[in-house]
Amino acid sequence: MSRIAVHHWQQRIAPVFDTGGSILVLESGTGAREECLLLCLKPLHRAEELAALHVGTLICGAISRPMKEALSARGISVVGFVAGDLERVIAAWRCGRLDETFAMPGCARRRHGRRGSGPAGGAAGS
Amino acid sequence: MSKRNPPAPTPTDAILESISDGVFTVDLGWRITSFNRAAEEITGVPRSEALGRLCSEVFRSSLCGGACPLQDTLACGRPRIGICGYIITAQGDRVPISVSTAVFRDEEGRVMGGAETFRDLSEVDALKRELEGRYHVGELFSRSPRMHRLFEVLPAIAASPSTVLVTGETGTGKELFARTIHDLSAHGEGPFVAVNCAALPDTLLESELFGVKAGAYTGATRDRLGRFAQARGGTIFLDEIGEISPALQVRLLRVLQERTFEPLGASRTESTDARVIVATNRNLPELIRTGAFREDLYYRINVVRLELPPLRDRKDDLGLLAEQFISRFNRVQNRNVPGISPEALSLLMAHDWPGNIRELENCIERAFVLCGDGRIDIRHLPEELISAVPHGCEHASVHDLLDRQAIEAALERAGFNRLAAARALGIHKTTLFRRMKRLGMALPARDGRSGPRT
Repeated sequence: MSRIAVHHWQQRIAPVFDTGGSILVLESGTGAREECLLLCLKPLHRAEELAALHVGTLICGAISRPMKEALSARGISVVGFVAGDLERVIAAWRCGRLDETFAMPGCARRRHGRRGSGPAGGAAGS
Repeated sequence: MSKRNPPAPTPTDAILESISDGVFTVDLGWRITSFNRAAEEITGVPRSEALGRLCSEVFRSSLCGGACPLQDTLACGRPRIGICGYIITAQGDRVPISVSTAVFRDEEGRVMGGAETFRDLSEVDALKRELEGRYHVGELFSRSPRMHRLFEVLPAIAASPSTVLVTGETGTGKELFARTIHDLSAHGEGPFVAVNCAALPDTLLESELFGVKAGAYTGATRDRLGRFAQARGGTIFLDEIGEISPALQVRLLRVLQERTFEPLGASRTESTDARVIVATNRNLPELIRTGAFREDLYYRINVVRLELPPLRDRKDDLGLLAEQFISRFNRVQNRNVPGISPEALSLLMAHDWPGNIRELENCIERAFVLCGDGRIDIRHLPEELISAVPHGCEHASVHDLLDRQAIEAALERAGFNRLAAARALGIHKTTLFRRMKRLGMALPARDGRSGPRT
C-alpha cells in the first residue's frame, strides 16, 4: 500500500479525524489525486475503508487512541495531530520537512516526512 | 530600557481564571484571543500555544467543522447552550464535554467574535456509567431492589459449578437469567443449550436429551447427538422441569449425580461436564407432596435457587422495560418510535401483568404496529388495558385508577383500619375519606378498628 491519505477541511488539515469527512488520496509515485468521502465512524470499519483505498499512510489532525490503534493494526501508519494549510502540508511531507511547525498546539512532535520521518510525539502519532 | 509591567487583571479576568469551566474567545477570523486556566487544564494546551491559533486546531472537538455551535451563534446571533461532544487530547484520549456559546461584543455593541465555555463531563459520565451498571447485569435490566439483590449474587453463582434452580411465574425471564449465568461463567464461550421439557412427549424428550445410536429403533439410521452431549463445555438449560415423567426424572437424577448418561440404543456410557440450570413455574414441594416429582431429584436440583419476582411486584421497572423493548423494536424493525406517553405508561402501571414480561413485550410490539413513528399512546394499547380506565381515556382517569388501587391495597394491608391505611399512604385520615369520596369509593364494610359491621 503506497498511497497517502490526507484528511482535510476548508483547504486545511481537518481538526478531528474521528468524525469523518473528506480525504485526499495521493499516489506516492505519480502524485495523482483522488478525493474520497469517509463514511464509517467505527475504528475497525474506518480502517477497512482506508485499506480498501490502498492507503499506507494517513496524515490527519487530532485522532483518538482507539482509532489510531485500529489503523495501525491494519498496517496503516498514522501521522496525527498535524495542523496547517493542505498544500503546504503535502509539500512539506514530500520533501521530508513536516516538522513541529505543523504540529497542533500542545502536541510537540518530532520530524515527519517522506525522507527521514520518525514517530510523532503523543500517543496518536506513528 | 525599562520593562513594561503586564496590565493588572480586571475583575472579569480574575473570575475567568477562578472558575472550573473552560472559556475561550475568538476573533472574527476564528483565532483565539483569550484562553482561561480551566481551558488549559481540560484541553492540555498551554495558553501561550493557544493564543493566535485557529480555535478548531486548539479545541479539537467532535463539534468542530460543520457542527460548530459557535459558527451557528455568530451566524444567527443566538447563544447555544449545553451542546454535548468530546475533545481529543494530545494523548489521544476522548474527553466528554458540554459546550455553550455566545456572541462577544465590544463596549459599543459591535460584534468582536465569539465566546465559548465548555465543561469537562468525564466525572458525570463515569458516575452515569456506574449508575447504569447498577441497573443491569448483562441483558438483565431492573431498578427494583429485589432484582438488585439477585444481580448481586449472579457473579458468584456463575463462578460456581453448582446446579441452579430458577423459579418464577411464566414470562418472568427465567431463560434470560439462565443465559446470563452462562455468559458470566467460565464456560461463557461454550454452548448454551436450552430445552423446553414440556414441549415434547416423554419418549421424544429422552432421545432429545441423551441422543440416539443408529439402529436404536426403526428409522434411526444415524447416530444423533443429544442435548447433554451438545452442551459439553457449556450449559444445558432445562425449562419446565416440573413437567417431566417419573421415569425420566430417574434418568436425570443419574446424570446430575454421576455426570454420565447412555444414549438410546448405546452400549457404552458417556459423560458430560455441562453446567445444569433448571427452571419451573410450578410449586415443586407441592408436586412432591402429590407424588408427581421425586424428592431426591428436587434436593439434587435445589442447590442454588433463584426466585424471580412477578412483574406486578416490580412495577418500578415498567418504564425501563418498555424503553428496552421500544429500543429493540426500533432496531429490529428499522423504526424511529420516540417513546411512550406518560398517560400510556400510567396505564401500564395500573395493569397486573399476569403474563409478566412476555405480556409486556407483546403489548409494546402490538403498539408498534399501530403507532406509526409517533409516541406510543393510550389508544395503541390493548383493549384489556384500556377497558380498565373507568371514564374515557383521559390522563386524570388513569391517575384516578392508580389512586383507587393504592387506596384499596393500603386498606387491605391495614386490615381495613382507615387510620393505619391513611398513615401508610402518608396522608391524613380526612384526606383519605375525601379522596375516596371523590373517586366514588364506598367505605369498606369492615372497619379494622371495630371489627366487621353488621
